[in-house]
Amino acid sequence: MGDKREMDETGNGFSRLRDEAEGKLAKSLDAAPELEGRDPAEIIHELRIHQIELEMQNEELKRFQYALEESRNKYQDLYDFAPVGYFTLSRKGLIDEVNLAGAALLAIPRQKLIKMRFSHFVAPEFQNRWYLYIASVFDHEEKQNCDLTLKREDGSSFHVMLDSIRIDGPAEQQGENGVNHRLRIAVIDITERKRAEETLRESEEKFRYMTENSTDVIWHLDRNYCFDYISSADERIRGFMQHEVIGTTVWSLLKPEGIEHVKHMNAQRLSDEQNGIRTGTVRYELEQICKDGSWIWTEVNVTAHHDQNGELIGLHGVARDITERKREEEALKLLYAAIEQAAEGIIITDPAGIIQYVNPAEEAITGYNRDELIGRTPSIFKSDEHDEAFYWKIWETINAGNVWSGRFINKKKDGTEYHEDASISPVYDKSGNLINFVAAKHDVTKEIELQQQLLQAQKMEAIGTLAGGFAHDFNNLLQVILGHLDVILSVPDLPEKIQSSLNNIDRAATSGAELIKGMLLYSKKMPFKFQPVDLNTIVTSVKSLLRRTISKNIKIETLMAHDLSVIKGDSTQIEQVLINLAINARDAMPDGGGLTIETRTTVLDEEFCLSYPDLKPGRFVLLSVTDTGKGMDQETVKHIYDPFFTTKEPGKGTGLGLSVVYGILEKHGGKIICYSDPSVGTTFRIYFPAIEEVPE
Amino acid sequence: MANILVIDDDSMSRDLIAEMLAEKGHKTVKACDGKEGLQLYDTTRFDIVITDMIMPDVEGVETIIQLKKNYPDVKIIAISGGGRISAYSHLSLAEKFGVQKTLAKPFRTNDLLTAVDELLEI
Repeated sequence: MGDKREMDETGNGFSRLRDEAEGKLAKSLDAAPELEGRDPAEIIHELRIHQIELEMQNEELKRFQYALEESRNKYQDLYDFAPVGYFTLSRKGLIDEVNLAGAALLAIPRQKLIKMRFSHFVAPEFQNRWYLYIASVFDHEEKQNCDLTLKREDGSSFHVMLDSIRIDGPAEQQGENGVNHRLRIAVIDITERKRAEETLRESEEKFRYMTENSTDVIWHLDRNYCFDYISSADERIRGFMQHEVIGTTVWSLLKPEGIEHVKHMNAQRLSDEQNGIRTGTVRYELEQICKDGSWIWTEVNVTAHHDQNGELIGLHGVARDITERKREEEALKLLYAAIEQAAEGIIITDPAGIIQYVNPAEEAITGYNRDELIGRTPSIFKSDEHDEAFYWKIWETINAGNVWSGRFINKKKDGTEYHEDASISPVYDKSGNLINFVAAKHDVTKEIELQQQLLQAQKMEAIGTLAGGFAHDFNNLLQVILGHLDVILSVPDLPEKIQSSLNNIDRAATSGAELIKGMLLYSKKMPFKFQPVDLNTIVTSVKSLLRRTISKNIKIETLMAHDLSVIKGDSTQIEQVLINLAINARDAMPDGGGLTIETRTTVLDEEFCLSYPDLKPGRFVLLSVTDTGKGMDQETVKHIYDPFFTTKEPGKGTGLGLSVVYGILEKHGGKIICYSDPSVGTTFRIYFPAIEEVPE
Repeated sequence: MANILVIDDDSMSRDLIAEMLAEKGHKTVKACDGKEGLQLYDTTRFDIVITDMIMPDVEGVETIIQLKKNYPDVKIIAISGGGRISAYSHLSLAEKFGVQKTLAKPFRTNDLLTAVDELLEI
């Protein structure tokens, strides 16, 4: 390759050629008689031309040889420094030539490899494959390839791919059949590739396993919305086998409303994709049909699938059976609606008692709206009616895991007190941890009022019966006394002393009769004379009576409506009512004050009558008597209609007055309501049913 | 002068009423309960029947109903010392069943005699 040894060899070659040429010339001169007789100058001229031709050819040959050498050197370099191992093997499989890469692959110097058997480096388990391979290469003209494992002398192995072709060897190495084929093998180390392939295969295997074993259904749709893949979970969930679904469209799974929804969303997706916007995952809740014809709810997440150029080529999806979840959601919604619409108040707190939820009924009961209650504790409702021990007992009970039931007297937002029956229960999670307290409350204020009214009525009833029985017998006795008195008094010329005594007896018996009449009135024993009555007339006449009997330091005022409706009643009894109330009012103002009697027509609605069951909604005439006296506390007001109940000193009143009033009003179908405040005074409001017109 | 039937389970009342009526010259027949009273009226058409309301066995109301049913023209004064049936006093109930006069005990002799005179004029 341009080195000195090779140039010397070339020089020696040229001199050998000259010797050969002279030898040949000598032979040709002997065989060339036509040269005799020719002009020597002409011959010399021709000889010189030939010489020049020969020199030119020589130069051409030299140039050619040089180019050949250069080319040879280049290809030798390419051969030697190729990244792939090149081996040339003889028919017998011995290494005739090897490049540097090949030697490096086997980790043996190139010279040492020459004449080694290539099969020496083939891993034992691949020996058979190797022999079959080279036999195939020698039998075919086309390139053959194979991959196997080679082993180095240090024991390490590597995977290779062999690309081999049969070539003709040098003539002197021809075999008996006249052919001399050799193998040229390109050995490519594919160890890394194999490793990568293995890793990929393992990864694919792993993902396939996950896909096929996922409880969710994993699927892929092509451009035409046909399934080209669906995992086996679909069979578990919907009952369809994979081959029954592959090739069908996604529309075959859905209800019409689901199809419409999906198509709409897809149209949007397509439009976005066409405008260069990459769409993400879209979530649906859709009903899907099962093989048995039933429908299940599924949550489906769909993602666009793009090729390397970014073109939309399909859709990936994951579907999950949410039928159970939907059922639970519905149940939860139902529960929530039930609690929201329950008539009972419901409060839910955390374990520390902080309010987390109140329902509308609780808002209505307490007057607070939920924003004002959430974050607070139920102590916001505390009135002064319970001591600390009461609340501690509740806390102790519910924290011990028990339900507390009882009655609260609480305070609304506007400060009014109300009674409520409540039960408070602890709530635990699945692990047994306390997570909430829930209280269900029922406002019983009205019920208590009604109960008290009922009790009052029953008391009246009981007393009435007793009184009635007593009165009956007593009247009979009085009848005998008065009757016989009449007989005696009819005797003429009675001595004055006897007459006087008899008169006293008469007065006493008559008073007794009056007393009993009062009691009978209370127990509704007296027959009433009902006729149309104008209350204003009664008020006017009573006012003049009162003015004569009540001291001047009490101002008497009457406010009478001009268009007062007429009522049906007993004037005498109504007078008695008014007088009774006026007397009580006077007694409440020992130092003077104001007494106001008012009449007007009014309409009582259903809401008002809810508190007074013996009142029916409609038009009423209101008679009210108001004083500015010392008033009564609520405890006293509860008892004012009890017979013989009196706040007056002994001898100042029998206590029959208001019980009689109550009885009279009940007979009239009316109602008396007392409002009193010790610092303000008292008002009695009496409602009489109004009649439409004066009967004939 | 009238023939008057007095029905009252209380003997003192019965005797007293008879004495009161005798003052004016009326004749009286006494019965101790409604049953006896009805039997007596069947045999004699009295001018007036005075009946108490609260009596054992056949009550005043029942007596009145029977009398009115059998003898529509009967004149009755109902008397009572008290008592109540539902919303009505005995006397108002008696009125509903057609008695012409009612007297609440204790009544005076004059009240009784006036009621009798008024009934006799009818």
